[in-house]
Amino acid sequence: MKIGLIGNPNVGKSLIFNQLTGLGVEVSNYPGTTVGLEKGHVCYQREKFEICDLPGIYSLDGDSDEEKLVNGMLERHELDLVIAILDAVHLERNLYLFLQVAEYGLPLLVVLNMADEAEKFGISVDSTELSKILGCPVIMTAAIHGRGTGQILPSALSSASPATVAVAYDHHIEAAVRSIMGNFPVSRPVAILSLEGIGADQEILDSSAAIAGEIENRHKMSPRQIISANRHHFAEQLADRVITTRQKKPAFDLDRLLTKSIPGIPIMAAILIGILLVVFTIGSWLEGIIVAFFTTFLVAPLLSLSLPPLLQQVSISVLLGLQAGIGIAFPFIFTFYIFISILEDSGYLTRAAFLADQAMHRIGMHGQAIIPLILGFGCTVPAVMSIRLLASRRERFIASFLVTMIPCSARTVIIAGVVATFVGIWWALSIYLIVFILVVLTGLFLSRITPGERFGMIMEMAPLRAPQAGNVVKKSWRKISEFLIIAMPLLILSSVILGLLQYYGIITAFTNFIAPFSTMVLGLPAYATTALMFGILRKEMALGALVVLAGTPALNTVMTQVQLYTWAIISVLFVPCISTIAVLYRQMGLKTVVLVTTYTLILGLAIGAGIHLAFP
Amino acid sequence: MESSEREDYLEAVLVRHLAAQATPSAKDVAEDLSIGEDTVSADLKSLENQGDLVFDENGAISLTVQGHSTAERVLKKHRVLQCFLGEILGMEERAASDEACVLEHSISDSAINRIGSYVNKAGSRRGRHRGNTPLCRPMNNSTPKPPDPGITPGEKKAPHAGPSTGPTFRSLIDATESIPLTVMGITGGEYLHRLIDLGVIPGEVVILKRKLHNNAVVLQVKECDIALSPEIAGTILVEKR
Repeated sequence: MKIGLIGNPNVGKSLIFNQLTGLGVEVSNYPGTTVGLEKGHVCYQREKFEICDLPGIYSLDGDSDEEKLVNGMLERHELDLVIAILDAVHLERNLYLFLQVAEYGLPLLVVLNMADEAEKFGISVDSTELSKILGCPVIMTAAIHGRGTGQILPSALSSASPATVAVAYDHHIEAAVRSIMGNFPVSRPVAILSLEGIGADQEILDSSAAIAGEIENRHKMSPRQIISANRHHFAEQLADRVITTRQKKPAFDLDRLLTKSIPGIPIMAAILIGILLVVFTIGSWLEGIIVAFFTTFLVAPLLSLSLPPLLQQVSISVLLGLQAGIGIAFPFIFTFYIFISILEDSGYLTRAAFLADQAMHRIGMHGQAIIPLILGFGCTVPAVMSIRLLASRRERFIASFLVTMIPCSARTVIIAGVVATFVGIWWALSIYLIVFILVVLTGLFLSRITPGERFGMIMEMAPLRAPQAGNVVKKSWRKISEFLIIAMPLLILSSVILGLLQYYGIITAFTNFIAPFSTMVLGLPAYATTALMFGILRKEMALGALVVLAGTPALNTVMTQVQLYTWAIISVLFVPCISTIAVLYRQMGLKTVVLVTTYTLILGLAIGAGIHLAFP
Repeated sequence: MESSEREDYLEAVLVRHLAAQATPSAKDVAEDLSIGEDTVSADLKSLENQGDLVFDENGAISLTVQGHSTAERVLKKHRVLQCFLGEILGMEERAASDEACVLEHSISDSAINRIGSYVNKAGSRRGRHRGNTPLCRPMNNSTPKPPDPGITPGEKKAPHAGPSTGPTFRSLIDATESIPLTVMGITGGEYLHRLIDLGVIPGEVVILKRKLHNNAVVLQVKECDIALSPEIAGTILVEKR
């Protein structure tokens, strides 16, 4: 049995999905977090159910991938049961989609989520009355606190039924729908959609278009406008009957500060720079403790064992790999993810997007594009996936370049572990400044040369809410555990391989080969350039490799400050990591990947060479 | 005198007349059109000779039946064109008026009728257009004349001598924050359905919650806050409640 979760964006579908299935899909407080279809299984009373978390949509009559996906599943009756999740705070707007979904005649359960917030705003919904009007069961939940979600599955299985409510359309529309259904073997919702000019069968569309033309002539309004106006009107009346509002708005609306240019933009800058500073401070403090622990209790005792040389090389490599992963990467990445999660859950990202709209116009995109850019500070892979939020291919193309250039947390590890630690914290921030300037220049350039349509920003503001400590830690942990499971073994393995290559002199050969280029052009010791190559696999591995090849985590003893700075900035800009390349290929195709990779490679080397020229 | 100049003069007299319910003098017309009084007096005299208008003993101008019908025809064309260019094609009001000043002289009656019925059809979706009464300068006058609707007729720069009815609806970016507005229509294109989904439909009462200096706006529709780019906000026509 297949159960689908359907609702507007940002109503908590993914949160409910997680609670139903025990899986951990991404949950955030901005519209469009779920881009594809998430599936999970749940056992209830010894029966297995498949649950699908569908992407959030505002209606079924659009032509975006998300709308087509949901529409297709409803039309082909791929779902046996639909759980419609409505936001109790914005019930009227949410009913608009529900009324359309109800037309498909599938068994329905209505979940009124965010009951807690509705209460806070003084909105009370009469769920018994609503259930009576809609003709299907209604339950109230506050998924964020886990309240009422336990009832969802039992209620759905015991009492879900097709809704009896039906929108009363204009009589010309009704007549047209009857006529289409008379001529073709289609269901009512399909007939309505084809009247709006949506559908796959050209014959039906042509004949519907003729009727639609007549209606438009008579009403001076297209059927689509009439139909949606009817639905909105119906939703409004329905909401009026079940909602009682006590005027109890919170005394102060934070948006009065956050969405104004002043102080909104300074606040935004302060938040972003503040996060970087705090991550650097906390990260390097933790790093110091962990590295000291490793050196004193593991590396030193190991060295004093005086093992045979090969064994010693391998075991030292394992330790260095572990040290790079746990000691350097983990403190920064984990702290970073905590802050990114707080940002995601607070609803602030949509404010940032609104404020950034003008600036983003200059670089050829719209406000929403700031969401992938900010997520890019965490990890480039999900940031590239969220490029789908952007409406036009032109914007997605420009964003692919810019998002890849944003220093992700792995690159933060490099900036923090190399520059902040050995050169100075302000120098570390200067790398962000340089990257920022390069991003702007690249954006300005690309917006000039990229052809394609422009599409404005239409974005629902997510409600501001205090992020919950539990959710934030859980989410950060989920991301960091991905790092521990996937990256750590790789880090250790590559460390061992490096150690062996070094032991057998292969690294030396490669290093000798690259040496002229490295010292002449970039002014770096040859092994540092070799280490850069490992950054292609995973960015933090470049640092791991550098530590192994240099033979010490105290990098300032083997390289000058200029060299460390140059090395860091090259590895930040230089070629995205392999996972980014893969996801970029899936999203944008081969051409974009090749362009992005070549561009960042040239950019990284050019900046490195530039610094070497300026400070030989 | 070219026919376009004649039409502009007659139109100016009619507009003055409609605005003030009084007969204007040559000086008024000169002010409105910002042309030298001497030129205007001479031109108007020759129009009197052609039988378009008459001067009374105080120097006040009245249109003859012939002059009146010409003036009315041109004024109607101007309004239709200005409405079409401004409201339907989205040109800025001033630019639309300027463009209309040029086109009104050469456009054929059949074309203007078609545009008129198109505008009316579109207008019925979003309420009737009742724009500012325009004023055109004769074409041969090259003095740039930036209009300022805020200045009253009679002062030196006073091209906007129209009746002070003003437009009854305007685009969202011209509205003021926190005042309830009624959506009158959307002139936009492909993103129309997304706006409709969110409840931005004619008749809906919305509140402009925030407008940045770049005209990006936050609009409250059905209790939800929606952020819009300037180019989209500019296509939403609203009326103060």
